[in-house]
Amino acid sequence: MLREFKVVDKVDVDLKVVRLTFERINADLIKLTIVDENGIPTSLNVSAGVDEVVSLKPVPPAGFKVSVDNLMIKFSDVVTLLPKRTASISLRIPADLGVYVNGVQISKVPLSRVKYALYGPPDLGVLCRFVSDEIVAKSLPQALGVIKLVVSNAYKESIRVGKVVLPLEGLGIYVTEEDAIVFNSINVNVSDPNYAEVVTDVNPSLNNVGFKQSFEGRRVRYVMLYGLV
Amino acid sequence: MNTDLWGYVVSWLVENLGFMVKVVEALIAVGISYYVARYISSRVAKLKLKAPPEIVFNIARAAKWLIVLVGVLIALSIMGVELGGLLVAAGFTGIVVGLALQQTLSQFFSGISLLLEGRVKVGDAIMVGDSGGVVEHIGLMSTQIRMWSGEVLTLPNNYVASSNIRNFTRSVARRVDFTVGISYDSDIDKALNVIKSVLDRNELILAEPPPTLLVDALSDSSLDIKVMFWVPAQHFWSVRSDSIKEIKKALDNAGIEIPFPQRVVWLRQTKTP
Repeated sequence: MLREFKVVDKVDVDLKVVRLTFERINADLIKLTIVDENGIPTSLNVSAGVDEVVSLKPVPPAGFKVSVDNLMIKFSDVVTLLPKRTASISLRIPADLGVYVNGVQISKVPLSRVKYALYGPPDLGVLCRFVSDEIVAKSLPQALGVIKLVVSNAYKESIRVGKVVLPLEGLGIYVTEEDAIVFNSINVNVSDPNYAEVVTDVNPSLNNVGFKQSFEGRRVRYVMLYGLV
Repeated sequence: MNTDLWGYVVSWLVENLGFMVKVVEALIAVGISYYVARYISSRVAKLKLKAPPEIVFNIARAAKWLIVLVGVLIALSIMGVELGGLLVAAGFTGIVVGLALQQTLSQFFSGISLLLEGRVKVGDAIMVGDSGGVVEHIGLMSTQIRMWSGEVLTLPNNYVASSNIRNFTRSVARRVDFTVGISYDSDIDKALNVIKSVLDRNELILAEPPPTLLVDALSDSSLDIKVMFWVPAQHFWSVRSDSIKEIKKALDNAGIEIPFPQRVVWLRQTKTP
């Protein structure tokens, strides 16, 4: 997915779920046309000289038609966690593709089906980007990255965890030497069934792996107040 | 003659000099209070408070008139008017005026209640009774709504406060409900799958809470399927329209008929002998 090129005349990038065409209009402008999985094209003109570098990089998932600050990951099976226990859950979630000119992001493209979810009641809840098994199955395989969730149960009884809502602001992305995507790890500290702190960690989900590129994660906290199932 | 008139004016001024000074003092008091009121009101209006602008605006306006009232009372006191008696008289007058202005006062207190309660804010999309639009101004007496059709509707606050208000802006998501009728000959499971796949394909139809499809009724001409799903509030109408269109196309492509009421009319011809 990592690519860098200069647009002299025309460059086509076919990623199966999406097709990008960069076409030079004149010495200062290029036209970027994005054709989505339904064959619907959108285009934009960007100022980019012949010598300027266009790059494609994986970026954390974000909102497209809807502005969102959170990502909801729904597990295929509910996990039951015994009291005072911690469990690590490794999942694969899709990244989006960022289009950069000279290091400045000019567009982003989803490499999976974009769906949203409501977490909480309609008046107090938040809209989130949604990831489930079904969406992962239909995503471009190269766009899938590993994310580790470390779930701790501080509650006196066992708790059931079926989904996690995490703040996108803290989500980072790392690309290994083999072009695999890795997200930063997430800590989920459950105090009771209606109170869980989700904190994005600064460390990647995989240790002892060399990364050739990174979009560093930050420590950001989101409190889940409306249940975990 | 002129000398007489001039002499009369001068002697009147000399006799009433004390009164004239009081009038000037009273006017100065009212003037100062007015300018102080304007200054404080403008400072209050510019304060960066954690309150909606309409509340700050109305507090500023109320503060202005309160300070002016204090100025007028000071002016009356300078003029020698007994304020105690005036307040007692004002109390009686208040009762009389209160009875006469029941409607107006009701609007006024409803306005205060609306502002404090925060049921509606400027910029909210609401329905009050049968009228819907975006709130443009909430005053102490009335509320102005820019209707969907563009006209400005001014509603008395007592009407707004006592009506059922539907606030669309408060919700980040809304549920779309509609019914799709299929013919009795159609395969129900196939129809449900077709509709479900249309809903799954639409980015703006929320995955959580998941869409619900219910076989709702056996109607006269059709088997009714109730379709319910959630969408981001700002996309309510466009997604509703798109999904109805896409469902119709998908059912057509799948060979599932959407029937319309049919009536078979038998014409009996009586034989003439």
